[in-house]
Amino acid sequence: VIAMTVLITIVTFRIQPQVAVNLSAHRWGYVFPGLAVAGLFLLRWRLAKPTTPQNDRQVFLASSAYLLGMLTSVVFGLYPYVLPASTAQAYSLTVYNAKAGEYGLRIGFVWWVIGMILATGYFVFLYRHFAGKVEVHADHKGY
Amino acid sequence: METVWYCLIAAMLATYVLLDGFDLGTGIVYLIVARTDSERRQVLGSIGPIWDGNEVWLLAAGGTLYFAFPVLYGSSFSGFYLPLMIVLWLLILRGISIEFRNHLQSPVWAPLWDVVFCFSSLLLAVFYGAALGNVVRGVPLDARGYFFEPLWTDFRLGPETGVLDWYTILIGLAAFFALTLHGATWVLLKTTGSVQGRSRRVARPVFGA
Repeated sequence: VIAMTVLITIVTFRIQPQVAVNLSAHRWGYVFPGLAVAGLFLLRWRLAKPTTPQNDRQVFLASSAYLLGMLTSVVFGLYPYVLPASTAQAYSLTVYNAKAGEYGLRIGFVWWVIGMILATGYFVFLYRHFAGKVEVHADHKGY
Repeated sequence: METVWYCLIAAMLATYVLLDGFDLGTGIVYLIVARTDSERRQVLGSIGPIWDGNEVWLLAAGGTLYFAFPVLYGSSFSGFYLPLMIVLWLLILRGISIEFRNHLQSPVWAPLWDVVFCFSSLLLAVFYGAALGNVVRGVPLDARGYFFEPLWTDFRLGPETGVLDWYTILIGLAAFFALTLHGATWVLLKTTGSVQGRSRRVARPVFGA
């Protein structure tokens, strides 16, 4: 993961110049690649320690931080493009020319918040219910 | 408002990658860390109650994309038609391999679905990475906002790119290693004994890769 992260970062800066433009225009954006690097450091540190429930949780959280940092770096680096064109820059799809109507976006936001409250509540319940180590019973044929 | 929706869709996709990412990673390390039937049921048990719920975030992100950025949705679903069909088939194969493996007691049935589960998870990780690579690299959009890409051309970057070229394959490989590590850390968290020990041994070299 370390070797691949270094390689794709170098190559991506050469292939998509918008990433460097956004990072130099908004210095606070370095927090996203910083999160990925912090995740890698935490992973290296925690993987070297013996297994305990707390250590295992931190290993997983470090991996999540790395993934989150990489993804948010891409999102930050591409903005305002949502689908850049390799043919001509004018043909690129941006948040401005690809969006729905303003009224729809406002009304939709209300429904999105309601939907997300339901989805988040369901996920909190699900993950709490199945928290802890997995137990396999001999008579249990399925998972 | 458009920037808010850009961030919301990004957050939903990131949630999907974090949650289904460990499902995919668990599938990738499945045949390595779990060797007996009991161990394999232990690994499947770690994702069994939640894997299909995690995929809800992909559907939710897709639906929100359709609502907030319909032009992007139309353009990308028409241009990426072929890889989307492949991803759909891999998602189906992965889902049925989890559900079918315990339906018959046979020396062939369960190992067959175990291999299908592992390889469909592996290919999904590579294809998701390649998809991200396509978005970063750019696609041959025309003035109407449409494009079509074959699965591959000559694997070079240029005016006639395919879905797979050296850059998108590189991002696909990076996604493969990242999700393998993520899956190994999930198995480490949720299991005990020899399965946990093997997942730790898998995580260390993958971390350096």
